[in-house]
Amino acid sequence: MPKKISFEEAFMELEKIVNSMESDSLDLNKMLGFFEKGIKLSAKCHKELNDIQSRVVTVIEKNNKFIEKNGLDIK
Amino acid sequence: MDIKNQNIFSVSQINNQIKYYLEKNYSNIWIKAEISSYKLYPSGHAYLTLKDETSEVSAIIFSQYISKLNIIPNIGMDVLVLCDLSLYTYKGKFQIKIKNMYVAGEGELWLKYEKLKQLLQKDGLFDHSVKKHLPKYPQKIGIITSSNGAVIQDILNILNRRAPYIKCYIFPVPVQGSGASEKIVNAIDIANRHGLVEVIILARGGGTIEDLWSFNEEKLIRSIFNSSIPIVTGIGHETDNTLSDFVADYRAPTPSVAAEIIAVDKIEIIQRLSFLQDRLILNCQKNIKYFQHRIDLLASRVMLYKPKLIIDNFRQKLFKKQYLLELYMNSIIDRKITKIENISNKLHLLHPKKLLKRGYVIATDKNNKLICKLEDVKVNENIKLQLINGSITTKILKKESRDA
Repeated sequence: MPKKISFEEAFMELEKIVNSMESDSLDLNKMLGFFEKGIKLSAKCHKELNDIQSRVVTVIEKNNKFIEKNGLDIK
Repeated sequence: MDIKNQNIFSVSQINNQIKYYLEKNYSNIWIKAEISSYKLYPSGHAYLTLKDETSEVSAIIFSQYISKLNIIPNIGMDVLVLCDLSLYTYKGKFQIKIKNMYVAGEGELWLKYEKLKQLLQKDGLFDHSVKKHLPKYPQKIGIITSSNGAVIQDILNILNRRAPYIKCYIFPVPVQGSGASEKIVNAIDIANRHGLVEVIILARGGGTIEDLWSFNEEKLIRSIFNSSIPIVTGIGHETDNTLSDFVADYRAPTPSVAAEIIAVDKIEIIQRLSFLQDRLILNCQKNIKYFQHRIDLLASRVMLYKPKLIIDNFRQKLFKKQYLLELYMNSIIDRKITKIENISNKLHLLHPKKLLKRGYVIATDKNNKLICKLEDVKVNENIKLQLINGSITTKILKKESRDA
């Protein structure tokens, strides 16, 4: 599995795998490969969903550079 | 009066020509007036009378425009109407076809609004075909709005409740007054240049057309159009239609709805995920069962064609052939034997000795040559006669032909 894959891509990939399992006749090895990959993707999605960090960042621009400040920055 | 050189029109001709003239020269015009009568018919069209201090004129709003009107018409209202002039040719009646209607006091801005809307529409900025798709499950979203007030709090509350997995980049901007649209354009630009987010919410609370005017500035609308990051607008209330809403990739009626549309509820995603996972496992099991079944089936077929069975089968066939072969051979031999016996019997009967027994003799000359005809012997010649048990030699005394 590629390293940097977004949640959305992972989810779509999982959907694609399940759909093709349902529609195509697969050989056993290919199916087991799909299964393994599907389980990994599912685990990844779960992990990302539960991965709660400091999630709000305020973007402020100063001298043509932008600065990220954690939290809602109210002047 | 000489009418020969005059152009004579029929009624239809004159009506049609005037209709053509009016529609050609008086389309998309603005009229300021007071509504003196208004009636909505079951057909869905509305008929009304517009007046000023000295004159009045009747007007119609066709059903397809009624729901899109900027205001709900009422008797006594001072309005600014956007309309086309025409002539109802069957009755020769002058007609005003209203396409939109605004409160007269806000006329200036609405005039600008309509003009810009038409221009941008012509440029294709509002086409549905050019709208970008929103990401289904964004993880990083940008929020362009004021950092003060209820709007940002509402959005953050919704995101926090539904989708704590989303990272929010807030771009604080003024959302009204001079310079506001430039600041918003700048924020869109930063987000695009740095590729910070997958989707942007552009939001503001409700207000009058003056309050919301920043969202009708051409520069901002073009910037929304040119953004490669999809933009969802949640500006004002449901009834507020800014040009930013028209150009946005998705128009949410309010800021809160914008947040709800962007952020799929975590619980819902988990449900979808576990559904997918179930299907994954189920399919795998189903497939394995299918293969097992096929293996069983093939195995039973292999048993059917076991080598021993094949050999036995051939052996049996071979025995049968062998038996038949022997049968044919014997019958052929028997037939030959019978034939030989017949011949031998015949031969036996023809044997010369058998004839001697019955009194025949075999006559030969001195050279032991058989005598068959008269010409074979001469008179006085000695010949030998063979009998059954010996022979005698004798002399020819006389030759006598049978014919004589």
